[in-house]
Amino acid sequence: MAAEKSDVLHGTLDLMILKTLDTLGPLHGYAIARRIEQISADELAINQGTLYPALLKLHQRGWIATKWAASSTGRRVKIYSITRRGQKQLRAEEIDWHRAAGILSRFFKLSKELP
Amino acid sequence: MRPFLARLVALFRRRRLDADLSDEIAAHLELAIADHVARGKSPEEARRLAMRAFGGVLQTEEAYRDRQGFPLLESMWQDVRYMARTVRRSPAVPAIAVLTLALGIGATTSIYSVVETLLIRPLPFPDADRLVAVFATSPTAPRDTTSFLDFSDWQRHTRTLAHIAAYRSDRFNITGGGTPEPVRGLRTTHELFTVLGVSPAIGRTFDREEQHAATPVALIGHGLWARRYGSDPQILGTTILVNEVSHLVIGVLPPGFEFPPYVPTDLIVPVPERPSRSTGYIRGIARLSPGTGLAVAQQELDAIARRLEDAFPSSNKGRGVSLVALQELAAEQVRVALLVLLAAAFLVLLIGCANVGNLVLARGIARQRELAVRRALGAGRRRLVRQLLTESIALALVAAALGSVLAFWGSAFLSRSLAQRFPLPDIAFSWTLLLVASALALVSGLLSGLPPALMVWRSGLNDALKQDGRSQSAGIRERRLGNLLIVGETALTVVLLIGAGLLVKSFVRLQQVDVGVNTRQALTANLVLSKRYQDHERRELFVRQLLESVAEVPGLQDVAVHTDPPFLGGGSRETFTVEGLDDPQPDHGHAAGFDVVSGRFFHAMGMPITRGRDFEAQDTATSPAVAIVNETMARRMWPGADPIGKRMRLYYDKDRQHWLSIVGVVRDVRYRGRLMDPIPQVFVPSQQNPYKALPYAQAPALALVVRTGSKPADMIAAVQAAVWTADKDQPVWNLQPMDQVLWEAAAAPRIYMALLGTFAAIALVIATAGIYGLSACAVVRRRQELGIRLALGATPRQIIALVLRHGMLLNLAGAVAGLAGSLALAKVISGFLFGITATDAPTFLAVLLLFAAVAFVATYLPARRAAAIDPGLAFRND
Repeated sequence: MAAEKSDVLHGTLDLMILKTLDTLGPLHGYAIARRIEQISADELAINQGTLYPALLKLHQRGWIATKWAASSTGRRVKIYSITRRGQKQLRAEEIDWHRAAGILSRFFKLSKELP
Repeated sequence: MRPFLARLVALFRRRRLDADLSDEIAAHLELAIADHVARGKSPEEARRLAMRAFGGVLQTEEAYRDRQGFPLLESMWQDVRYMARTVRRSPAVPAIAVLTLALGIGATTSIYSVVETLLIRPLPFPDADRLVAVFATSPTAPRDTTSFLDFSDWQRHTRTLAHIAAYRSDRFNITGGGTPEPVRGLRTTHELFTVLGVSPAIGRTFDREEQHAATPVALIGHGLWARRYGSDPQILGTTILVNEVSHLVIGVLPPGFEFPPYVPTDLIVPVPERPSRSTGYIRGIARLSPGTGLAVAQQELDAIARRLEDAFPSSNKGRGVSLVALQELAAEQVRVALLVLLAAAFLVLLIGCANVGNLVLARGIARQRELAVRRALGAGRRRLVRQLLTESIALALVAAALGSVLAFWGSAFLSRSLAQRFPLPDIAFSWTLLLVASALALVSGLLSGLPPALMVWRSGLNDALKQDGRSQSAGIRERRLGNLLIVGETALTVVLLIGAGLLVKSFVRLQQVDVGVNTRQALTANLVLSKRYQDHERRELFVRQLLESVAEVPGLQDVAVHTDPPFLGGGSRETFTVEGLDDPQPDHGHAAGFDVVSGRFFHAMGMPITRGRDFEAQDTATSPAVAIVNETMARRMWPGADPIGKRMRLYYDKDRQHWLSIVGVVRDVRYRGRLMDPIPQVFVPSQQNPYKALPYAQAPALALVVRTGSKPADMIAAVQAAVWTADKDQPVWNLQPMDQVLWEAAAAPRIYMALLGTFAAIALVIATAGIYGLSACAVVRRRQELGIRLALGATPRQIIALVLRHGMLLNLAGAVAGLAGSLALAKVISGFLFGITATDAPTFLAVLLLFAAVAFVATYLPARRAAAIDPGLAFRND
């Protein structure tokens, strides 16, 4: 079953986190994980645990900020939000991604046309 | 950069951050469980699903921490801390390892620093590698002085030498204003500055015309300028008295200027030009033309010399030219010795490395089980090897730090002791040295850490776990390596011990040699007389005043002057014709040392007259000329006959009438120091000095000998004052106890002996520690086997014999290899020996016995412990 799910493309987890935070605003870790699972319709084979080292990396780079807050149930949780630097990074990566995807899809089209 | 800073900050908030992470993960799981429960799962099911979706909590934490800190550094730090704990528990083995490595590193680097300074670092002149010394050669002297006319012809005809200058090292008396000061300096042609590429600190140099200026010009050394003239720039244009003659100061040499290399130079004046081809008194120094090699230049000068031979056969027959790179010349006296010492120091380092390898290896074998268990518990192979390597590198770094301190002291000591004997530059602690030390330490650390690490790498998990005290299969290869290391170590140690033994014995032999005079209670000093005393009568008058003045020093027994001071290596020789004997070779006569002495000379020197009489008052300038010869002279010239009454004369005596009658024979003196056998020697009284007129402007040299009753060193000041009473402008050189002259003359062999002896002693200590360590390890390893043997009825004596046999067999193998090595190296060391050969059997035997005794004790002590094993305990090894 796991074999049918696609592995997370290298580096795309960072992008997904940034995009999630950019779209939905500040979230805690579990919410980010759920959101990514929902969007990918459970097709991604990631452990939710791998999210945390990735969050740390983004934080170290200054792309996201953290603060402790109380959840709706009163539990102490860490809330992540995207910073301005993070937004800038996201824009750049989005453009790159679209460009790369465009090139690749043209390739696939091309190889279909040729014998 | 930013992530790095974040990691750095995290280092200091570790505990807090760890708690935060746990908290965050716990919150995550709670939220997930709540979610699942909300969707109708049972609490157990919800928990299971949440955990599965999350993945491993521990792995997450691990990955998180690795990202948070510096995982490699942290694991290394862990290893170092682990090591520190084990070291604290049993400090002996690592301490020995560090110490041996530090000694090796210290010795190697301090010798290396001298080697670097002398053999590698270029001389302090621009493009120093193009500077060559130009010597004249003659059939008897491969490096002779040359005449000015020959020099001028070289200069005129050479194309391969861009510039060539002539110089002559000399000593000068500087007088006027303050105490007279003897200084070393040069007489030179004006090209010297061009050749060396040196310009004065202030002022200017001289040119061709000024070499003959009516008022001679002079450049003074930076040191002299500061010392005597208070660095006053107004000195330029004033005159100073050099050897009583006014010289116009035109420049000050740059600070640190030394020529010939490492010989202090306080004065440079023009060299006199003597219109002769037979008077050799100058040497050449030249700069090769760009793109010209030494060999090409040598060929060209050979051709020039041949043309001169053809043109002037009477003076130039057999004369050639020899070029030597200046850099090579500056270091050649100490080159071989330094390389031998460097090799010896390197041997010590090798022994140290072998020893460290052995200890780390032994510890590695002993830790096989521990490592195997750790692997079974999940430690990666890479991680364990890294741990072992970290350990040996940490060891090596500590050793390097310690070794650098030793090297610092060592190079300072070495430069001080070598400077006693050889002209040397200052050898200072350099960063290169520190780098070399660290590099050596790292390399040796890696090398010695490698075998146990490889062992861990190779051994399968099963093998290692299966292995216990009873199965000895694994590690055999490593033990063989350990044995090899011990054999190598002992072999190298024996080589060093034999080398040191030979040098010690040679030095003892040297010190036992009787020089023939009583040097205990005597002072000597050298005087370079000023020009005022060039005249024979004036000189005699001064000498008389000098002797009277010094004789009044209280507590003094005898005083005399002579012209050929002993033990300094040089000395004047003359050629004699002996009545009734054919000259051994036409044109060559009989060579002998020649010394012109004042009345009480033999008493002052403590040289007993063995036949005939001393010089007496009856021997005056007008009475028949007399001479005293030494025993060697008497034996050579008149074997079996009484030399008293025989006659001889100076070979170059023009009128061939000045016959010297021999009136006495004096005991042999090793005039050239203990290293050389006595040579034939002729003494004549100063009142009959055949050198009535001294050749050229050369300042006459005199040596003062004072026999003192009490401690000679206490009378130095009084003697100095007495000389200045006779002439307040007379500088005094080297006023010192005669013993000290002799001691300093033997400085070179003493230094070699001391250094090699130190290395050998260090090597012996290291090797002993290694032998002991190996033996002790073997006993620990074989505990069960030995316990079984004891339980089955072996006597303690048999157990000791068993352990001893194994250890001593290895030592024997090492010693034999060492002996073979020493024989192979005999040629290298024979040049440093005196009175014994490099294969001196008693020395070899003594070293073998010493080594055997030490090795026996080092093996016996653990063996005795083996015999005391309680068989019952031995079975319960684990």
